[in-house]
Amino acid sequence: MAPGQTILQAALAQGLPWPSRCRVGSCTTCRCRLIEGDVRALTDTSYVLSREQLEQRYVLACQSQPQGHVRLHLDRMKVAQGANANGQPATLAD
Amino acid sequence: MTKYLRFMSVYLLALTTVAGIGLGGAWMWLGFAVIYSIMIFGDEFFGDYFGEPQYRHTRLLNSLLYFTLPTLFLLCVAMAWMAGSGDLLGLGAWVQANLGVDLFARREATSAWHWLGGILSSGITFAALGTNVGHELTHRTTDRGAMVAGRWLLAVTFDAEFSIEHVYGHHRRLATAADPASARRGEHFYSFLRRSVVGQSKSAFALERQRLQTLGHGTWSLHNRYLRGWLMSAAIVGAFAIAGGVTAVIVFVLSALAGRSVLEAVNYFEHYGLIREPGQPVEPRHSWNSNKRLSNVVLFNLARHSHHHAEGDAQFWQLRSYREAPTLPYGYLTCMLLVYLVPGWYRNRMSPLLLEWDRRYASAGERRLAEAANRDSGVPALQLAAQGH
Repeated sequence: MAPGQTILQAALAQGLPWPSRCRVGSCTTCRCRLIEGDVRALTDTSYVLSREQLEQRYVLACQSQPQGHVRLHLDRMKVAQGANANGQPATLAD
Repeated sequence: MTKYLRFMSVYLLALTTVAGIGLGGAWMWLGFAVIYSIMIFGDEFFGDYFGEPQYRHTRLLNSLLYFTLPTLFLLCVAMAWMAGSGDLLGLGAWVQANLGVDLFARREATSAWHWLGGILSSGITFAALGTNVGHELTHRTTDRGAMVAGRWLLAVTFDAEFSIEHVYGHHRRLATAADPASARRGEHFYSFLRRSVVGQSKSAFALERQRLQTLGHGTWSLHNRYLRGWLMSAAIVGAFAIAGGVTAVIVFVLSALAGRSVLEAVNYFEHYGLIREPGQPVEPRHSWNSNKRLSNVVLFNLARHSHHHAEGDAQFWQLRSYREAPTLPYGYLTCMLLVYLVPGWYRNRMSPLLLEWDRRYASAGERRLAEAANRDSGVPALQLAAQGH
């Protein structure tokens, strides 16, 4: 994926039907759970995610830039994001 | 180049306000008279602009937003000087020496009636520069500098909390009964004004408290952005007290409230009577759109509201015309004046447009909600249509 891209932008660029609506970190439609790796959150997600969700490492795809390789869980779809800033394509698992 | 420069026109309007207040006397009405007459006649005369030009120099467009801060500061200095009694910053002496204008005499000749014009001029200028640009900047939740600048711009009209409620409240609850900033069918502007001001403030506080709980902070601490917003406004009032005494505080507070009421008039007509089923996506049909050339140029494309709500992360220069979206009958300041002066008439004016919206734009679910809303609206034209079904 391209440098600076968010998970959502990368997913949509790959043609993945990632659910999204507002894309500004307020509607939480793109919410997903971080299984592996780390992300940089662009906005303060504490307005829209609960304490439990934050503890379970939920993030907003539209507001998260992956820091290296990450694995995410999105409701019924498991998506593995290929690493970061070196132009590698993201890979799909499951 | 003109496609960039045109967005500077709001500064020309703002400077008429600054000049008018600085000159005192009947000149205090200048900004108000110039802004309303140019905008109202200009929107009729210049009509619509559907263009969607591409911009390469986005940094230039960005910097245009930030000139609002020094311009508003200049306006506040002029207000404080004219309302005060001394010679704030030695400005009176400087102007007399360099421009030969005796501001002291002009201040003496300024009456309460003149100040009414000054307050109305400042109010609309606070809204156009402060609230409008504060809105644009505080949508950039990823940009710390924009958030700080935007919140100060909003704090001028006692509304830094708008940065919380608008993004996490209004944009999510748009056009549903849960949104205090969406006007309901049949709702009179002055009822909406009360509901919106109180409701948005409560909602901002609740959202902030929820966030602090999530993070494990106490509600009553400096982590609280709602409280910090009010401290920012208090600091501005304090600065007016120091700079110009009690009169300056009164003039500023009234101007700030006038500016805040402008925001609520705009909130009112931007979504009046539109309906969305909770949980369904926000679409262009959930805002009243306008492509009036002058309204958009002066307000950084705010009137292209259908795109703004459908895609909240679009910058002002990216907003598209959406000419098929439901469209306001007039430009922004015309609608505003009508909402202020003849709110009942404006409500009736919108009835046929709402009925057309029900037929042409509404989803099946929205049509059901709209029928009930028409029945309960208290507006004869809408009630009659509901009976017809």
